[in-house]
Amino acid sequence: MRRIAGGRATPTLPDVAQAAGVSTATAARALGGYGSVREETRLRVQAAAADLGYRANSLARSLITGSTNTVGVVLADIENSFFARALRGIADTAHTEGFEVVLVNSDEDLDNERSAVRVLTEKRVDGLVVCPADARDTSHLRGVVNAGIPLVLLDRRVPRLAADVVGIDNHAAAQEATAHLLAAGHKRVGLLTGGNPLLSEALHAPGLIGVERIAATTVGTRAAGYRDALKSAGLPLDPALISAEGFHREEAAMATRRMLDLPDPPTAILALDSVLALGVLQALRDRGLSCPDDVSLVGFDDAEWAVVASPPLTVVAQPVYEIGAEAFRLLLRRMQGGNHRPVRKVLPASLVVRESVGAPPDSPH
Amino acid sequence: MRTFSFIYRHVKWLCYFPGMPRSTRPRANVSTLAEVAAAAGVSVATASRALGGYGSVRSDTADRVAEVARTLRYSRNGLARSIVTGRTHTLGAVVADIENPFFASAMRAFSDVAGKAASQVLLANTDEDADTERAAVEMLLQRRVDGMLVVPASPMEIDHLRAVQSGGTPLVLLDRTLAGLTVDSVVIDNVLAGRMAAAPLLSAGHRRIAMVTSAERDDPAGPRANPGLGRILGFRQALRAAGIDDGDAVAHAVDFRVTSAEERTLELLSGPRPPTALVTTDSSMTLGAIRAARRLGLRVPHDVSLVGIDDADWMPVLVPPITVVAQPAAQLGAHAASLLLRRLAEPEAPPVVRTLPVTMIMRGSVAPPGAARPSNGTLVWAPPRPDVPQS
Repeated sequence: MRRIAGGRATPTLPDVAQAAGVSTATAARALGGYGSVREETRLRVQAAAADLGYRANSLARSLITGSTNTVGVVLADIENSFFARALRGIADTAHTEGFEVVLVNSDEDLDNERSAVRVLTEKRVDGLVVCPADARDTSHLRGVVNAGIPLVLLDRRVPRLAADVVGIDNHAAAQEATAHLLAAGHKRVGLLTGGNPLLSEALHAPGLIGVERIAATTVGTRAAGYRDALKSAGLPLDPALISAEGFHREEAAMATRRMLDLPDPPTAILALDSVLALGVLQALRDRGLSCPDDVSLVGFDDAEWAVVASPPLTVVAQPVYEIGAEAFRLLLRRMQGGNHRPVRKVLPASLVVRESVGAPPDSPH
Repeated sequence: MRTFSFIYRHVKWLCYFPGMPRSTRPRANVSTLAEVAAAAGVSVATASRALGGYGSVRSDTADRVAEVARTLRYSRNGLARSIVTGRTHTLGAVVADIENPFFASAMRAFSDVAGKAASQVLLANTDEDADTERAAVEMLLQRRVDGMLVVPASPMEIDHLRAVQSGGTPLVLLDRTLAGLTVDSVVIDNVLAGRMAAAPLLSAGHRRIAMVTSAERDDPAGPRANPGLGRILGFRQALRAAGIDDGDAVAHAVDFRVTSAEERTLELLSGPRPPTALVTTDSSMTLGAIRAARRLGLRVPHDVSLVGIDDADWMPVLVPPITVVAQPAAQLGAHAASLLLRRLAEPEAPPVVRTLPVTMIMRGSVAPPGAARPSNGTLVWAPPRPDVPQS
């Protein structure tokens, strides 16, 4: 028996064979359900295996079959309810199809993501779902595609990468949300992107021209939707109202306070996820400002608390669970040998109007 | 070394033995060690030593092999290595509900600590279902995880967990301990959390306080295995100590979901003798209770006071911000990972139960019963009190 940690022993196939009085090859056939074994022998081997607590080694089996029935998932921030819900969609669907899920949290960090992809590839996962963290370098994802390993991108697109992608129409969603604020009479709308400061340059390009080309994030396309809504209304873009100061709640609160301190502060804010929206609400409270009387707010993602926020939050609701489920279904088609052209699956988002949008205050506060 | 290489070759032979079924999908672009060796002009054994970082290889040879491996996009086969080394550098985690911020935060910390020790985390979600848990544990054992964390769904059905332990795979329990299974565990003192949650409500003068919980009414497991029961016990203790008959003070939701808590609280608050204050046993229960109060047009804390057990990122931002007994979710997850790693290094160390402290965070959801409504009938936007931790 192989001695393992703890001084206890894991029974091996030869142990089972010996206990059942058959050859190792026969025991393997009996337990593997292949080749021919007499029924009586098969039962004896199974009984011996059960007695000894023998368990098939799926690693060894994977080496033979080339399949691990495992998919790797690399998400940006598991504590964000968007990713937790999407993960549930992926995992539920995967389990139904007999697959297991290995999760790695990248914390929106490119190095973490690179090492996660490397390790998961070494572990021979059958496929990967990745929510790419960063635009600067996607060579590790190209490596995955070039190695013929199925890859599906969740939520975020990488241009010229031959991988399936699933998400919403971010441009249209952001444009609709911004237009909703403009229709209420707002002319100065702050945009909290949650992007890291490295995106600042692109997000501060004059007139946000070409911003949709920012790769591996929804920030670019959503910023473009914001831009086009303002353009259609004939309103100018103010770089001071566009923030790429991080994705944590505290960072969003700081960005909001910075905007509120501007000589001509925004009267409305569009926050591109639910954690950012929390940061905005926190900053408004710290300043003793009321939403929507002083500042209106639209968030992204219909978190479970949005309906009990004060005021109940108007949000762009994404079908998050379904995005995760669809990501796995696309991956499954690839894992089953699909060689079709990359699929871009767009699921519908909707603006859920609650009470966080009002008319702008008459005078600057 | 001889045995080692033999096993390694044996494994490679298994991989590429003609006629064996290989991958169901083409991985034509993945290079093999043999291809790397051929391209570098060395033997397979030398290439293996060079890439594996063991045995002696001249450094210029090692560099050449590494360069070729990069060019050919050779990636080490982690599975084959695992069979050789006996370690998979994978930890399993079987949790109750990954969407609950408590578990999300604990898992994140667990993964961070595991990652620093170069281990990946295989995650499974049970939805508090014992059968799902059994299947998940079996899957993790088949994958030869180095160790696993489990949040046991049922205190009664634990044979599969006994099997993990007796099979020698390190096991750590999070959030719950099990009678009859002495194993590393990381928990909080749930009885204390229940008592602490009742305290500010009793001090404010409430006499009709109800607890909303997802714990089952008649769980024979007892409070050690079921954190909800521990919290109920502490809550009842606090009420009795204050001379309150607590006969009907606990309201059981049908399960752990927000909507279930919402329905149960709705019944409670629209009943004949509604409570003036609520204690909720986790963040999903808290959210459900708040949603129910909103639906009835009741305001916290003027119409009903609330203390939650478990903090969540949205709680400080609500109006009013919610007073909670906070669990150190991230520390619980981090401790669980370090206990597993410790057990891998010291298999014979005696099992420990680590109890981490809870914290009372006074915010704004508690007022005296029947507190006067603001005269203009609207909520006052008072600047929130800063979070005041009290041990």
